[in-house]
Amino acid sequence: MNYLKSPELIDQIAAAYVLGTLKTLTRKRFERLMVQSQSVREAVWYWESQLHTLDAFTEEEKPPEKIWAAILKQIKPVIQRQKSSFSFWENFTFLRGWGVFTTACSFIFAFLFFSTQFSVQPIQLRLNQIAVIQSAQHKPLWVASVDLQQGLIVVKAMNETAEQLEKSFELWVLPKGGLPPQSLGLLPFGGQRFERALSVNVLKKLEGAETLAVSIEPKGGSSTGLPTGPIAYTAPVVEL
Amino acid sequence: MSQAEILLSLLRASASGSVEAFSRLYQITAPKLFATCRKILKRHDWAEDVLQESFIKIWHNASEYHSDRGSVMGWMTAITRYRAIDFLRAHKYHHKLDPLDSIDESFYGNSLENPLQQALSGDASNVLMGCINTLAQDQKQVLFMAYFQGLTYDVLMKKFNVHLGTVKSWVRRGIESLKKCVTKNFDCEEKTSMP
Repeated sequence: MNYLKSPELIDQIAAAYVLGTLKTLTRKRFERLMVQSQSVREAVWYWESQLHTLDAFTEEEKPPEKIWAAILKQIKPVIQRQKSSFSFWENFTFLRGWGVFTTACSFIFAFLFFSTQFSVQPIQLRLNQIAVIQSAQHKPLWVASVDLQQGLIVVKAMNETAEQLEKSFELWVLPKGGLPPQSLGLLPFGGQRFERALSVNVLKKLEGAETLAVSIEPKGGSSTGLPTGPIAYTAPVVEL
Repeated sequence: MSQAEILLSLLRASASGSVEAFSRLYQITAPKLFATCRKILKRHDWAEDVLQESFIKIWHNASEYHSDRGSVMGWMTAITRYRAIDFLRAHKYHHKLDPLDSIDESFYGNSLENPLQQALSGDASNVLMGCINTLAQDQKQVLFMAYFQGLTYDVLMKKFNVHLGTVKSWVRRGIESLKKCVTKNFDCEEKTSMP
């Protein structure tokens, strides 16, 4: 039977799927149908949005601390791999091609020495503020995270295409009380991120700020200390 | 800023690789999702496993979320519930447990203290709750048992000691009535809110 020809039937099965009454094999078959058909997915989303409001009546229960630790353990290796995409081992492979074992050893010792002496630890942010700068189509372009205690801002670029522009995007905080915008620096592109220490003066302007803005500036950024080009994006600051 | 907007910002930041944002997202949402797991799975250790697996899936799929999926909390609830239901089915089969043993009768009794009654007597402005109140008692019970305990048609059939067709019919009629009622109420709200 072609379920896709019967919207009513799809609706019924979607509701039963969200409710949880379908047997395992039927669930799996329906999930395959969801992958194929947008209308099936939409029927499921409709019933999820309706029925999941029932969970509002479930009393919260704090999970044990060990669960977060276990989650962190499983997602951290992924992050570490992403951070070390500059691969020492690619260079090492090159050295192996030379067949000079002792040279390789000396590199390894040097690497170990320097990595223990001068290793750069990833900054652990205590997140106080976060802002997601989005395109008009609600696609995230940059995510800015601020740690007010450590005086740090971390901005991660989510966009891949803006790199081609001959302009710079500059990030500004609009302080409360109508004070003039304060630059937070030029924005990175293509999945890159920057971490920057903020002065006490800038931190004061960030405290209580409700909006970040992005202006389009000549390459290298505004030379006046204030936005000179048009404001391309704004984003609300979420206090955490 | 609303809670929904905060969750959206945190999820987007998590999609960009921010563990700090994901940690905050976990702090805010885990208690509710853990309660959902506990309600469906009953066993504490199973609920812990499913919560952990669900958040790992949320981390990896954070960039796939879009507003068509409903709220962030709804999306996270869906991931967690489906994982809990799959886990329950797999483990009950594996351990040859009698699904009827897991039914929490206290949830569906007529006492005013039980969660079903509390839910139904709660926020009258909630459209869904208002609509559930209009359903026949059988339909109401079947829908709640299925939703909160992940029971299949087969188990519901045994529980109510009726034919499979009867249970399916209760669910189908319940769902049809709900949809009609919710759509009608939604249309009314839209009309009254228009200038």
